[in-house]
Amino acid sequence: MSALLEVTGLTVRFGALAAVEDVTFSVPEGGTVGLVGESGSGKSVTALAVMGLLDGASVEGAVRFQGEALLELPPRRLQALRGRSLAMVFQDPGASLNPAQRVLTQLAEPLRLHLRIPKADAEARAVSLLEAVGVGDAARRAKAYPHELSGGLQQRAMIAMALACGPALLIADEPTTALDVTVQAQVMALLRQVQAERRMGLLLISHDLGLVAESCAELVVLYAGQVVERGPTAEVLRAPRHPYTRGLLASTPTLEGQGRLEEIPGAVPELSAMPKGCRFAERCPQAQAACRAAPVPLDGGVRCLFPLGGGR
Amino acid sequence: MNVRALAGLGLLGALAALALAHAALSGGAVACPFGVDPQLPFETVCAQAVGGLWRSAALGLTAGAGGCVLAVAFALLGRRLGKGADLAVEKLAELFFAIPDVLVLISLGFVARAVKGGESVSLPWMMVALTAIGWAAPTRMVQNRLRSLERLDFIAAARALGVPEGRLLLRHLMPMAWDFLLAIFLMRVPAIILTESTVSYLGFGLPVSEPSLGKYLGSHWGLLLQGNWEAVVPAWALLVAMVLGFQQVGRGLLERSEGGRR
Ligand SMILES: Nc1ncnc2c1ncn2[C@@H]1O[C@H](COP(=O)(O)OP(=O)(O)OP(=O)(O)O)[C@@H](O)[C@H]1O
Ligand SMILES: [Mg+2]
Repeated sequence: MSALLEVTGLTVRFGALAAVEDVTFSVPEGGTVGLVGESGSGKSVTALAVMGLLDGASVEGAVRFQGEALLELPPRRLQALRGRSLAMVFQDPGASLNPAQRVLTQLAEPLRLHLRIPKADAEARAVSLLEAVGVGDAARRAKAYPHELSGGLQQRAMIAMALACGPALLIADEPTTALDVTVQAQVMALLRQVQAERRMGLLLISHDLGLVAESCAELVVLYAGQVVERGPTAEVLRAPRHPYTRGLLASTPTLEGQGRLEEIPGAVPELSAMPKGCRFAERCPQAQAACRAAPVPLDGGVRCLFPLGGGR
Repeated sequence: MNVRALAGLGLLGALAALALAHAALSGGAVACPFGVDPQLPFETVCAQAVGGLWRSAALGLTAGAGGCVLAVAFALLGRRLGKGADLAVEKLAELFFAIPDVLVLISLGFVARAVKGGESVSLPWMMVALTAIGWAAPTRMVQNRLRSLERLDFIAAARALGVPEGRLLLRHLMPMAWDFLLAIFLMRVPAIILTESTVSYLGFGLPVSEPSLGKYLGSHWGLLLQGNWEAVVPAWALLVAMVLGFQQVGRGLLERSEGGRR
């Protein structure tokens, strides 16, 4: 399988502070990859850097999408890709829709922009797009303003908008965090369904390891701006190798509800006070002096000097 | 609508009603209760005050609108031309803003009188000059508003859909800024009226034959020393009421537009 998206050595700095450092992962064509990590670990920054939406940050590294180097593209070319073959769904649908425009107008916009479909046709197609993402009574709801719709419907509309031009890759940044639990499950089911139907690449971003594990073939675990573990979901779940991943797993509720949840003690270090060595050392039960001495490289899919299960 | 805006609107409505009533009654049936203007005995104090009200309002409204149009144009131009241009517009506006309007206006008046001769400047000239010096403050406000609007999620979401910058500006950003623009326009009006009043009060502005409220007060304040307050107080009252009225509507709308923003 060739890679649809290849992120290599991505580093994003705001001023002198690196929010994301040397992040490498790829999404295969039609593949599903989950990016997990606690709040502040750099998930959104990674997504926005890939989309070229970070203003005022310095972005280093390489992002290749369908063979094109995104970070070097002229703005016009990038604009032409966004919404067309590369789309993104944001966390808060209520804030991501323009409050002053009808849903219909917003849905028709990418169709008119990228596919040059005339207004009336684009609006007709927008209604069928809404139907396709499971919005009932789509013709009426399309005429509504965003605030007249529930959060679940708003997020469906956002997804419809992102899917409008049939993108090859969808980046979904915490697509369900702002929604009620029951609606969360519906929206995730919708994402899985369209991903499978269209064989679209999906980069699913969440702090919820359980949610990502259900939907993604591969996992990338981010901690304090770095990838700490990477691998096929089944393997990572069965035998996590980084102590942080194991901590995340232990704090993730399972269907069986076995045992009580263990929170990882401590907090993610501040960007301005990143330790020199392993960034997780302060919270790690098996940290040793060597861990704090020097930066730990990502090796064999894990960034740990003493990975669980031994060996490196 | 909030209470402040409504109160201001009420005040402005009352002023307009007063001015219209004066126009309807000035046929002669009802005499002006304040008598005639001691300096121009063929005009009543009422006619002078209401005439000044119209002129001051016209100056404030036209120059306020002109300044806001310039502000939007500069702010949009700056954005379109990129970061450097945006910053240049910002710095220029800040520089301009730091120079007192009254001094600039007086200096411009000197130049105009030196070129054209005469003792005073005309009403249209005053409108143009007030527009030319009144762009700086609204330009900074429009720039700031666009920048803060730009941080909203739905702007990033529109960018993520591939909406080009120009369209983003006109179709997504500007529509969110209309109520704000109306508010800053309304707040500019009293500022301009006061600037012009000061300049004309000092004798560097409009002619005696075409007085704004400030000009009238400037040429008549000496009457107060003679105890003739009837000739002066009506114009004062109208000026204060008008300035207060515009300020309150403007601030009320501004509060609403800031409150309504997410
Ligand atoms: N525009 C910015 N300027 C400065 N720092 C920023 C900016 N955006 C993000 N950061 C910092 O980068 C770090 C990573 O932020 P990011 O939003 O990517 O986290 P996240 O993993 O998406 O967290 P969450 O789960 O809360 O969304 C944080 O420390 C944040 O403060
Ligand atoms: Mg985030």
